[in-house]
Amino acid sequence: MPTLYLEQFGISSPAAVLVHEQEESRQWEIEQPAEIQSMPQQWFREAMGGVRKLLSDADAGAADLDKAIAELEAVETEIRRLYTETMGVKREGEIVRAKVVRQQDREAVQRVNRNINLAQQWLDAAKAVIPALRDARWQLMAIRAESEDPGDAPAFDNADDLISYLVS
Amino acid sequence: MLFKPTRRFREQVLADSKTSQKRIFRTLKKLVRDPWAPGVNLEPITGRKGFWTARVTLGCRLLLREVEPDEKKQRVFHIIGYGTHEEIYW
Repeated sequence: MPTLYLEQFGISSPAAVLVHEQEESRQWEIEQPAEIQSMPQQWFREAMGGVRKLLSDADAGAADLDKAIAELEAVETEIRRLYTETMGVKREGEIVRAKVVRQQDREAVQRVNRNINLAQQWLDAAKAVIPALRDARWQLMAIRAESEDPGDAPAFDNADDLISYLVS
Repeated sequence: MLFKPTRRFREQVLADSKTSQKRIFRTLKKLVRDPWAPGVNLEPITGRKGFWTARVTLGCRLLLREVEPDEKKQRVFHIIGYGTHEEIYW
């Protein structure tokens, strides 16, 4: 997992938790431990706090920008992948719910509802965190450009000349 | 209006595939003609004065920085690089 550096800022991919949730959820009969139930919101809060800290450290020149940019992109990609998977898990749960409702198994309905809600909470958190990570990455790219030598290329007002220069 | 490719941008283009290069060049043509044309979708980066992004594809954007005008008072943009920027439609 690409979290070695970003973990200092509290930004980590929730993959391990979600894999566990998915494994548990697929059985649809296992109780979710309380700490996992509260995880999406907690992870979201920590990640957002981490993004703010990362940007403030980057502004102060105290962050490894290349590393942070690469890792943020990897975390973002991973969360997108998990988002799609979790959507599948939720749909699967809705099918199971229809089945247990037909069987009039009230206890099973409650358990399945709890897992569907958990998947939904995770999806909501991911929806908020993905654009925040993406925008933070672009801000870091801008911060990096501020301190970088742009090089000695000429300035162009003609696209063909610009393209010729790029490939020469 | 003038556009200066930075060293990072040139290296990035040269290292990229021919297909990606074609997309970038297509964007550069639109950008140099008129940065504010709707297809370029130029947007400022929030909280970073002078920085802009321009759309290459739905999942990729160019990073630009407006610097001081040149001696003829022409606006100058540095083309800094490009990267993934997924547009999100939930």
